[in-house]
Amino acid sequence: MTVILVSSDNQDFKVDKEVAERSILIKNMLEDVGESDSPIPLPNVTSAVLTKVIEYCEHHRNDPVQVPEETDDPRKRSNDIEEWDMKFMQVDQEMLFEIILAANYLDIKPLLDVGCKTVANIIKGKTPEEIRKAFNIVNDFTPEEEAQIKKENEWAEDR
Amino acid sequence: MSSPSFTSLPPEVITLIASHLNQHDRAQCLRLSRKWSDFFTQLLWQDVHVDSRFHNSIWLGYLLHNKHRIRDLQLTDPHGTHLLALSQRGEGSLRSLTASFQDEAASFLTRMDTPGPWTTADYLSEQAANFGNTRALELILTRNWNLRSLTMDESCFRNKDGGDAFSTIMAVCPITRLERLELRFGRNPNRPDPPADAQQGPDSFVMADVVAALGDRRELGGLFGFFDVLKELVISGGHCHIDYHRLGFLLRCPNLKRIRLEDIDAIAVASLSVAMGLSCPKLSHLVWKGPPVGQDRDIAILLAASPSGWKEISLPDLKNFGTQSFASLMRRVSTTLEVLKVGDWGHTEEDDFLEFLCSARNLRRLEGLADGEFSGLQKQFTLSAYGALYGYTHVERLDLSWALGSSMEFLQLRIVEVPRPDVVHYRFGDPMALPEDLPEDLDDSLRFKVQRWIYTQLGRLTGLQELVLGVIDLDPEELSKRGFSKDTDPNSIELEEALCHVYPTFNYHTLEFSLESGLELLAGLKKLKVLDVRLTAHRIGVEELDWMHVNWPRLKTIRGLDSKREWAGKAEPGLAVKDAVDAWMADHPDGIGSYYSGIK
Repeated sequence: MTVILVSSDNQDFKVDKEVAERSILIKNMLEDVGESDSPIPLPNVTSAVLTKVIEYCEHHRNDPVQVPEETDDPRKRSNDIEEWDMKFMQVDQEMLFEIILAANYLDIKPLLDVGCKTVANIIKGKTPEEIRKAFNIVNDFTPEEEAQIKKENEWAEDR
Repeated sequence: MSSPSFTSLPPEVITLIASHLNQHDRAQCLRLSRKWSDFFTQLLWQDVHVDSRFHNSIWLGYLLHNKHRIRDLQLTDPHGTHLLALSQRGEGSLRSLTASFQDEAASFLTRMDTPGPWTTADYLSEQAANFGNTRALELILTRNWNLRSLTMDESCFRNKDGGDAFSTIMAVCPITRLERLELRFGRNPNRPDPPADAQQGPDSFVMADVVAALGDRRELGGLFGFFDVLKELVISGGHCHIDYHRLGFLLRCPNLKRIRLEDIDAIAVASLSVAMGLSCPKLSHLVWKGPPVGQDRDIAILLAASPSGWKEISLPDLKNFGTQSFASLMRRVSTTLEVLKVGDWGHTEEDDFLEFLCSARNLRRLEGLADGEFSGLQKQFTLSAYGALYGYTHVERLDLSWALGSSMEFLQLRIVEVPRPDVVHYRFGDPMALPEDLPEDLDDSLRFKVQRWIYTQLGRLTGLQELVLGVIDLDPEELSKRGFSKDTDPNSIELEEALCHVYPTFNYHTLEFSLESGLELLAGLKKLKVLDVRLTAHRIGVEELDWMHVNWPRLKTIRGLDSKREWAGKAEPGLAVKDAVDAWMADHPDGIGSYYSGIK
């Protein structure tokens, strides 16, 4: 059985129901609507992004549904990304954030996780100046404020 | 719509990103801009480890100032702990707490229940009094009624003078929300262990003493309340004696479901069993880590300790198991047990394995060691195929059937002694003899009869998702001890020769998995996803793959399919089959079953 997804720029995407249901949002919509072949509009997702998201869902169509992690202790969380996902995420930054936003909107937890891990990996080991540069963030602190804030949080830095 | 950037991500996504960052990286993000500063200040302080860093009084000031933001707190430094205990800021804010102290600090804490005014002499006597880290911990515990998870070690159960503070700590423990409790007992220098002969555990004293100790404390639940939502308990014994009186708190845990035991001593095995049996009617999951100790009878009692019957049991090994404990395990197996994981089956014999297979009714998973866990001599769950069918009688027992059924999802067993005249076992260039208990006049009818019997048993497991017949990979350390790098192909002949006297080795007398030997009897395994044939002498060729493609639609992978060891001892035909299999696999990149061909 297939369903039709419509992107914000009015393109139709025909995908297997099983693939579409990787998105909890779509899964719930399909359950609410029942048996129906009317297209599902996704006004927040462009066709370029939807193509990527569908590619991800196709590849992971058989993954077991994620069980909630036994521990929410961040220290124990793994940052490993499997190889296919790593390659999949090699896109420009704009697309990376688009995918994250789409995964968040469509409620595709594993894709959201991979996206967030990718961003975290960019941040890791960088100085504030390097992070600002990487993400185009404007420093709006005065030098005094910046010195003060550094002093207050030095305890958390590696020595 | 403007193009998205880091700045346009919603807060819940930023939180998720931050969860993959350590404290250092969070501290860098906090310095990016005003917006990030506010946001990451919250995140930075959520998770704090109070160690000697906070001897710096400026940082200590920030710690106290941000105390209300802390959700997950780890305490190791007495100095910081004492000040946190005095501050009333952010009561009830902690979700999880881990405490373990290296030493005692000079205490600032006064006995608040002593009426003032205080003289200098009072303060001095207070300095000398009992109240050290445990006092600080008590204050923190009483103020954090939202705690969901709590971990404490022996240093938290000892007053400054060495006296036992365990009862007091447990009395002030927050009970309303606590779901997980971890207690790591250990050696107390001021309370010697019982003499060595008591450690041996004479038969009579344990039961009576534990029952008496618990009997004294039955009213505890009424006095201090019950841990109503506590589901998971971890007890680490630190290889020491655990005072029975310390187990009294189990009476306050009526809804406990999971218990994990680590490094507990022989006496604790017995006393815990009795305490659990008396106090925790809903226990269903048992995990035992560390070297299993204890008398046969005590282990038997532990395996019977869940009043409603264990559903899941995980044991490191069965080395100390005797007749009583094995019988106790078998009673669980034939009744309530759904999941069993055993690292090493110790002295378990062929007939016992067969009895197991023929009595396990409700089992969903039978697991052995995971990859890389193997080290030294370990026995896996092993079915001697020929022995099972013919035993010592040499008369067919085709009516023997396994109790395992459609509930089975994961099965890890090693099948040996399948008569395989098609396989010649070469070692150092010479063919080796068959195992001694196989008849010499092996013919194909015997070979196929034994295999068809096993296929028939396996064929009933229609819910099976993973079938693991291969032997687990060696521990990388074990490999390097023998001069192999961790990248060594586990199927290489050099490795096999080097390990010929060490378990696991290549097994020549396993199921063929060929159509000729009766593979079609397994056509009912529609849910099978993974087949693991590493280090077995399987005979899976292109015809078999075609059959699996049709009959096992969900089969994703076969682990160990790439074995270069051909079956007949002649290199070329084997390598030709391997090439054909490789080509077939290349045509089916998404999975073996027909289900995966539908993709794109």
